[in-house]
Amino acid sequence: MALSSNSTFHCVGRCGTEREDANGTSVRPENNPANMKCATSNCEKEASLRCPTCVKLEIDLVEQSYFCTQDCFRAAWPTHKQLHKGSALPRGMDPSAKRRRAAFDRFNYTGDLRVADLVLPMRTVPASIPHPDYAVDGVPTAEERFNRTSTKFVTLDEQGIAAMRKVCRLAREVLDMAVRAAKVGVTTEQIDHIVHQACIDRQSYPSPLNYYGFPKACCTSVNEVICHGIPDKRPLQDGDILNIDITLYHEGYHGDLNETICIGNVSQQDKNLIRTAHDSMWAAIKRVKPGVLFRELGAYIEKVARANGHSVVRSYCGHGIGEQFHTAPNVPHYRKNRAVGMCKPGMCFTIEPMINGGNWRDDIWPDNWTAVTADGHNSAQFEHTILVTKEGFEVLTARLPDGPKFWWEEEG
Amino acid sequence: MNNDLTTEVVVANNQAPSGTSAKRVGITLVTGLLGAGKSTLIRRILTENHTLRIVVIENEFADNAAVEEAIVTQGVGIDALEGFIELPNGCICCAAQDDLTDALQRLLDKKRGAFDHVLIEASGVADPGPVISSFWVDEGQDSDLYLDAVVAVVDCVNLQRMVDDDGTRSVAGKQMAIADVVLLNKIDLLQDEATRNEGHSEEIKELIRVIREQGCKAQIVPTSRCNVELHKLFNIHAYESEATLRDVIESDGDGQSHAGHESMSTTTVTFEKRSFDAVKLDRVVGSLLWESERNDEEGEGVMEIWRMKALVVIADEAKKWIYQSVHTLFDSTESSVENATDDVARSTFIFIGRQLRAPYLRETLQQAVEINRGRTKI
Repeated sequence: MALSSNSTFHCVGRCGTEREDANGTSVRPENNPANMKCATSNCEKEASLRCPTCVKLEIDLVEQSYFCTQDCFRAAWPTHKQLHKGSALPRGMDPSAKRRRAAFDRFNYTGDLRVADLVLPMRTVPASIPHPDYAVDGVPTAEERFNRTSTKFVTLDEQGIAAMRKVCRLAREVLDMAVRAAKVGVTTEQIDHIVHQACIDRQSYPSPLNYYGFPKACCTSVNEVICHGIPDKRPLQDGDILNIDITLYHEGYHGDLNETICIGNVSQQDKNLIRTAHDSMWAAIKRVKPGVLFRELGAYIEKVARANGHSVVRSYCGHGIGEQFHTAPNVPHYRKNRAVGMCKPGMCFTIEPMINGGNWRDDIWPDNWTAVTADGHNSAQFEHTILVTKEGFEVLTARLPDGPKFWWEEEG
Repeated sequence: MNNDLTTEVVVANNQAPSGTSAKRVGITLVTGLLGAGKSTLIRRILTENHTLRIVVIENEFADNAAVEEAIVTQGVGIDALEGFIELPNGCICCAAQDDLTDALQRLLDKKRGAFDHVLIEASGVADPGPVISSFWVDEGQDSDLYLDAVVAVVDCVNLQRMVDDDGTRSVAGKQMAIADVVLLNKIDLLQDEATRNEGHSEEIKELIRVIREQGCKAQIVPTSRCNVELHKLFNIHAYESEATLRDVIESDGDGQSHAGHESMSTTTVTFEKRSFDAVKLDRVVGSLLWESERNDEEGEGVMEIWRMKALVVIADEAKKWIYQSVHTLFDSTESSVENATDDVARSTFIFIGRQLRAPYLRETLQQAVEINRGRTKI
C-alpha cells in the first residue's frame, strides 16, 4: 500500500455540527427478514422497528438500526445518531449508501471504470490475533509522529529482521493465493474474502483493514485505478489488468507487497505497461545498499518508465515499514525529489512504483481512497518490501519457486 | 473532502478580477514572535488596494509542527476578513501543513488562476524550519505552487531584550537567521527622531548589526506598522532565483565566520582548485543535515544546520552548481556561472545554524572532493 507523497495524515474528528434529536423521531415497523436483534447492547429481544433516519440514509450497518421498542431506541439515541453523521474518518467509508451514491453522481470519472456496490460492513478479525493500534478507531496513532522531513529512521535488530522475514513471507503466500483466484467473472470482493481468511489462517491481521477507515483487507486496483482500489461487487472482465496489494500484520510487524496481473486476454499495450512497472521497480531495488540516498532511487525508476513511453505517478510513494505500516523514510519514485535519508543496514522500506500508460497525473474518487489516472489510461504497479543489508539488499517479499508466473514467463 | 473549500473559494472568486493565466503561485511564509506585527502586516496586505488575489492562511503550528487549527481567508478588499473559510471538516491536524499544499494544489487544479499568491502566518512560537520545508515542494512534483520567501517580522523596540533572553532568542534568532526578508518593524516607536524621519540612523544600523549577529543574511527592511511595498515581499523566488542565492553566497566569499552569540552563527567554508563528485556531495550534505547527533563527539552541543547555500564546482560540469538546504531538505541545480570565471575554481558553502563547527564541516565536505582532479574542467 502506497503512502501519499506528502506523507499527509488526515484529520480525525467529528467536525459536523448537524443536530439531531430523538424526541419527535420514532422507530417505525419494518419488515425484518433476518430476525434482527435489538441494537441496544444487552438487549437480546427480537427487533421489528427500524430507525427512520437509517432507512432514509440507507445505512449499510443494518444490524445497528433495528430496535425492539421506542424506549430502547430513545436510550440508544445519543450514540446511535453518530451513525447518521457518516464516518468519523474523512478517508473512511460513509456508512450511508445514499450519501455515497450522491457523491459519485456528481463526480466526473476519468475513465470507463465505475464505482460498484461496496460490501459493508467490515469483516472482523478474531481477537486472539494481535491487532495494530488503528484496528479500533482507524487512527494509526503511532505512525502519525513522522512526516516527510523526519530524520528518525528505524534500523532493525536481528529479532526485528527475523520478524520482518516471517511476515513478508506470509504476505507473499497470501498474495499468491489472491493472484491464483483472480479470473474473469470473479469479483474483487471475493478476492478480498479469500485474502481476509488467508490472513486469519496465518494468525495475521490484514493491515489495510480500518487503516484510516479503509474498509477491506486488501487493495484491488483495476485498469485506470493507480492504487488503493476498494474491493467491490464488480466482476473482473476479460482484458482487465488488476493490481492486488497485500499487507499483513503478524507478531507486531507489517509486510507489504503487490503485483499487477492480466485477467484473461490483455492487450499487448497493457502487458508492456505491466512489464515496465516490474522492471522499473527492479531498476531501483538493485541500487539499494548502505550509503545510497532514498532520493536517488526515483531516477532509476523514471528512466525505465520513460524509455518505454510511460510515466511515473508522483502522488504516492514507497515508505518505511516495520512495527508501523507506513513510516520514515518516504521513497519517491520520481526524479528531482528531496527525500530525506540514507540506506543503512537494518532499514526496511518498500519500493512500489506506479506506472501510467498516459501522463503521470492522478485524481481521486469521492470515496477518498481510489486513486485513478487523470487521463483514464491504465496504470500498473509492483511492490516489494526491502531490507538493507551490509552488502546491499534482501527482498523480504521475494517470490516462491512454485508461485504464479508473470505473463512474460508464461509466454516465454 | 476538499469540496467545501473549493466551493467557497470559487464563490468568493466571482467578485475578483478574472485573470486566468496559469502562472505559478508563490507561497510567502510570515514568521515573528507574538506582537511583532504579523497580524498588522497581514491585515495591511488584505486591505491594501492591489489587484492580487491572496489566500491568507493563519496557522497555529504547534511545537511538534502539528497544526491545531487553520483558517483560510480569501483576501480581496476590505471585507476580506469576513470571508472565513474553514479547511475541510473545519479543522486540520497532525502534519497537516502537507495537507495544506494538497488542498491549495487541488484548488488550482480545479480553477486555474483562482488566486495569485498565498500568505501563511506561522504562530510566534513555532520553529519555522519544518513549516518552511513542508512548503518546499519537490521539483519533480511539477507543482503550480512554489515557496517564494520567508519573511520575519521583528519588533525593533524589543529586539535587544529578545536577543538577551535565552528562550526568545532560540526562536526569534532562528526565525531571523533563515528568513529571506526581515521587516524591522515599529521604527516609529524608536526614541531617535532622526530614525523616525529617515529610517537609516545610527540606531537602526545598530539594530541591523544585532540582527546580523543572529546569522541573518536576509534583506532587512525598516518599517512602521509593517508599511512595506508588496514587491519587496512577493515574487522574491528566494529558493529558485539564482541571483538571490548568489548574492548571499558571493557577498560572503571571504572565508570568514560570523558568530555573534556563541551558539548561533553563519559559517563559510571555501575550497579552491577542487571539484566535487555530485553523488558523494549529495551523500555528505545529507549526512550533515540528518545525522547531527553524530557530530557532537566533543560534547559542545549538537550542530544544527538550518539553512545552507553554496556555489560548487562539480566534476565533469562546465558550470558551477547551486546547493541549498532548509531544515532537513536540500537540493541542487545548475547555475549560469562558468567554472572558469575565477582562476581558483572556488567552491563556497555558507551554513546558517547553531553550534556550527567549520573544521568539522570542511572535513566532511572534503570527503566529496573528486579524487581524479585531472578530469576537472577549470
